[in-house]
Amino acid sequence: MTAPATGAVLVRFEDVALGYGGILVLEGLSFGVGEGDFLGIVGPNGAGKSTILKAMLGILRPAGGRVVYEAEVHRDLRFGYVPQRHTLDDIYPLSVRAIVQMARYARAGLMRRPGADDDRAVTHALEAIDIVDLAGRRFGELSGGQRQRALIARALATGANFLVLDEPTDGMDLKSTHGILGLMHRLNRDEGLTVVFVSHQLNEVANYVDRLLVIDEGRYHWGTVEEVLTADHLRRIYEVPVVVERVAGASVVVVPR
Amino acid sequence: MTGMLEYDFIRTALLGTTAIGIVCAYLGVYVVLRRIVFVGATMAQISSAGIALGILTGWSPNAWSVGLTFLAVLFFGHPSFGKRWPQDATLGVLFTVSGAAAVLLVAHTARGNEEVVHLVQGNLLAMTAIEARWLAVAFAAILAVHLAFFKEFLYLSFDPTMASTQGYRAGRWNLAFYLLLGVAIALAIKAIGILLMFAFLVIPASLGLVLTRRLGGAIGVAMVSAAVAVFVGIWLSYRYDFPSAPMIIAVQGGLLAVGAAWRGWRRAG
Repeated sequence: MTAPATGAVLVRFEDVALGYGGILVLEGLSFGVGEGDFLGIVGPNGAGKSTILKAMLGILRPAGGRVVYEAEVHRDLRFGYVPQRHTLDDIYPLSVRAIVQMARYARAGLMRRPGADDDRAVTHALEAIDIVDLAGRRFGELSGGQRQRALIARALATGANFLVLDEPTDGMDLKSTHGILGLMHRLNRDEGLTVVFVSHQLNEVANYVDRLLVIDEGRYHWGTVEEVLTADHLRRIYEVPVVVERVAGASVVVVPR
Repeated sequence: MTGMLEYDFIRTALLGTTAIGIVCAYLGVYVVLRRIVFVGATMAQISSAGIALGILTGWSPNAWSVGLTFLAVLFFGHPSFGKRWPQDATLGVLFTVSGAAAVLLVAHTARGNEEVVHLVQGNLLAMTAIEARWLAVAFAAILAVHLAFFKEFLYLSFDPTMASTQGYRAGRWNLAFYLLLGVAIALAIKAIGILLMFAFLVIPASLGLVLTRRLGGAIGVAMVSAAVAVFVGIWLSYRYDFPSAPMIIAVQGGLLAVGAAWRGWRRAG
């Protein structure tokens, strides 16, 4: 649990306890996210992964401990949040462009419409994710992968340098999953964005990210992929026999019969 | 068709009901999109209980109605609403209990049964000119506030979590939304009755969302269709001697049926 962040630490969890309505989901959580990190938070449904994201974004107050945003970098820290796409209702008759433009509402200010600068930022975000052709399409009619791209474009349009994604590949087929993880990898490597995302698919995540935070039933392990992805660690966390194999250059976690 | 406009009371009813209808149709688009139709129905029922309380006590039915609706707004707008107990069950309880309360409260008043009928069906032709002008101003103000914060209400309705990460106070905006809706419902109920009020919240918005693919289009269709339904409904009730509020709802239902059939035909083609 001691892996140092690659760049200056942007966000640090110090002995954090998280929960809702007096019921704790996680306790004693300590880890940091450094500038340029690509961190995957992995665990089963209900383990508290999304709760960690909410605390990181500052919309959930920790029940214990503290979440620290480093003072010298906090001024420039701009989160771009990508929610689980299932939480957004298909019924809204909104185009992809209209949804991406929402990212600019806060900058435009109350009672003001987004201006030309905001339009340029929206177009730039659509281009960065390569979905300009989808701009006029209705969001509710897109495939899962296209919706996810639209939501990533919206997060980028905020001017974010720190992307936070909640289950971005949940329910996607292999091709779409690969496409979204590849896109996140590109944004991290080529655009220098810090990326944190959660998933319950350890095998999907482990081969893209630099760092892993694996949680299950209150236990967690944090570090580089090589440190975390060992049979011993995973056996301790998941309490099942685990084998970690290398297949075609990728790590594969297997639970033998 | 314009012959009815010679009568002051019809012109008055047209003014007041059109103002209510247009603004409720606008708010109804949000009600339908946020999937809170039953919340709207329950607020209407609670509001009617407030009016009944006003009739019973002889003190300002509008004030009672707004007061009770405000309490409902605080309850519905609270972040814990629907979290600890199924939302539908809570709404069901409030809907039935407040409906029964409204009937019981006016049952032993001088015009008990008549008051119950008015609460449900409304009596828009009895609207006074001052009342109609006041309603027009009040509903124009509600619309103006909503339009001024259009992008905020849209963003906070569509994705409150993302909006929260950008500094918006989702709870406060939610409360503001319910407050405007509650005031609109409370003011409308006494003038036009629960049935027509609720119809204005649901049917024009449904027509707008059925016919168009963009939010602006849906809002436009909803507002125009509400105004058309008021005019045609009142004319039909004048021409064939039917009660006005049910006739306006029937016209709205007819428009929605035609709209849905047209959309089905377009899709099939």
